[in-house]
Amino acid sequence: MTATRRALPLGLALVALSCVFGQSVVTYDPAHSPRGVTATMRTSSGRHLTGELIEVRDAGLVVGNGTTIVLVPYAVIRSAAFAQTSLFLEKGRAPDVSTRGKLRLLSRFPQGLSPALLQQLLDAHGQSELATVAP
Amino acid sequence: MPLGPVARNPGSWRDRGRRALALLLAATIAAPACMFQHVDVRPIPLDARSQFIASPVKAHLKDGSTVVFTEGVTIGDGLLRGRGTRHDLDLARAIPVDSVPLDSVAALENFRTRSDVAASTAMTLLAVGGGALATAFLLVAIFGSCPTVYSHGDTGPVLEAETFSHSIAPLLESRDLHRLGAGADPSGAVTLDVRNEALETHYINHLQLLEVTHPRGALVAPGPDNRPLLLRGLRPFTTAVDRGGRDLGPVLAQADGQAFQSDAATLAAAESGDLQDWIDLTAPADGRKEMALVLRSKNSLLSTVLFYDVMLASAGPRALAWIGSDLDQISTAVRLGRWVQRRLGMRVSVWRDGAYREVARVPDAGPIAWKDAAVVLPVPPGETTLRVRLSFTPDLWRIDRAALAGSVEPASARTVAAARVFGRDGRLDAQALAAIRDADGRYLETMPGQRFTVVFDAGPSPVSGERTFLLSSQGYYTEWIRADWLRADASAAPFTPSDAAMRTALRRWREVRGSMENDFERHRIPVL
Repeated sequence: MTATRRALPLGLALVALSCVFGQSVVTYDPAHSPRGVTATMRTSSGRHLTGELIEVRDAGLVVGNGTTIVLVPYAVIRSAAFAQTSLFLEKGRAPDVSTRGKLRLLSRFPQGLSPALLQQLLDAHGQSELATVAP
Repeated sequence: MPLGPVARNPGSWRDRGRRALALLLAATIAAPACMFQHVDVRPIPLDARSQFIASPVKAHLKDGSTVVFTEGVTIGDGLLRGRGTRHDLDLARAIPVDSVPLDSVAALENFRTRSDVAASTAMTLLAVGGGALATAFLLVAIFGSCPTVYSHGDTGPVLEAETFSHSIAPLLESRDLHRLGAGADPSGAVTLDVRNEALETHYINHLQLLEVTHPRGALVAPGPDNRPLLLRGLRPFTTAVDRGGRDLGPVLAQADGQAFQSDAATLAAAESGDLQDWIDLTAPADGRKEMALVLRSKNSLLSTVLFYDVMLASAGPRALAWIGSDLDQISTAVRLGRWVQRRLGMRVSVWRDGAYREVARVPDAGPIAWKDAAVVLPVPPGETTLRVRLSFTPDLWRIDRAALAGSVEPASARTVAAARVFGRDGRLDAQALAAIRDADGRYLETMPGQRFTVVFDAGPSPVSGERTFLLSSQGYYTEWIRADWLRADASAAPFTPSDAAMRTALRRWREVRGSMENDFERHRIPVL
């Protein structure tokens, strides 16, 4: 065994024992909770919205804050960040396919909400219909 | 972009390239390695073969309920098996389950921790490189600052402001307003140099000038809400006494560089838990309904000790995660914000109905540039004497002037957008201008040692009266992690906002106050 080969396992062990940064599933909220990731948004009118990402649609994001569920069209999202992720939306642009797929996996209902399930959810929040955030 | 760092003598750098590389590699071997990781979320096909998954799995059922298997699952025989919790559609109820039929599942996803090998390697090298750079510049981390702004004086650059000094993460991005001493040149242009003189990356979102035209002799200063106030009839307070009973009248009467600092006894008492200092000011109320406090102040370097030694360095390697990701979480930022509200800044109170009532909070100004500010003081009905208390954590502030304005009113301001940006090489930089011209998603990013010049076309001077300019700035900055922090205790906890942390900072501050204040200026990063 050459010196390099002998040193390799030691080097790897040192790397493993040294500092570790970033997220792990141990501290990653969506891995331990049924809820979707928390979204923090600013709309084109300057309004701030923070809530759970319920569903990712082609038209926008469905978010809930415990009392109300709303659809936020991509066009009105000036900026949006998602807790414990580096995902980001801005300038009213819809996310690309890759980002949309990642967001969908972090939403409460990655499979999408059927009309019946949506109605049940709205009923639970005392809403008759899904409100849409205006520009 | 053109605002990239340029070495003083590129030729000599090339000559030293091989040696530097060898040194860097040698240092890399000796330095602590850093491993970066992230969470990977992947869908699991519902027709997946039998398998055991050892990390958390979420099953989204067709009826809208969600089952969370935090310890993983075994997939096989048409079942998901594992210790799970089933939450109904509206999350009102949760029950334990140990299996779920696969045909009831609409979607499955798995959460895994993955290592970022490239980032880990790069960060280890960066840490070493950062350490080498710090050593080269003899930095001892006492110049944490944010962008500094200079005007062009007759005898050289004049320090005008330090901007958004408490915006240490994207979520803490904020807007600042600074009164400038600079005026316009004969062509009507106001020219400012913006510098990065610290081991930080600055993200400048917006720079804009406010022009206030006003009668001669009046003063314009920003209020705590970043709106300009027009102040007239300035005079010293009748009495000014600190908590220890010292007469501060002569110190606070004029903006002359002679500044208040907390007395030794108050500072010593703070270490044992008494985290309050104050200055009491009085003046005749003169039958007015409101007056204004006019301040010229800045933070002491205690704020720097708190930030570097307590918030970052003592956290060791965890400081990187605290800045890089923890502060991007709303809860962490909010917790920090609440603590900052309670322990940092300066509270202004007015005596009313037998007690001091807080009327405003002056946010931290940073430790580098004097900042002018004004606070409207409501005069309680029937009071013949206006009694004002400024309270703060001991020795957190240096106050050059605290005066009273007999008249205060909102100032009408005209905004002046940035017209041109020049890089350090003197060339116009359209990209940089576009980045700072509007408060949008575009940022001008600067590295240590970089500077640029921004020009505002304010137009000709007013026919009558005079005008004052204020710089409105928005952005944030991130601190560079020093190599010695990474070599610190890897098990250290990230910063937790608390009074204990402030006492630790005060203890450290008492040890280093004299030397830090003496060495302050010479530890700036040279701007090329």
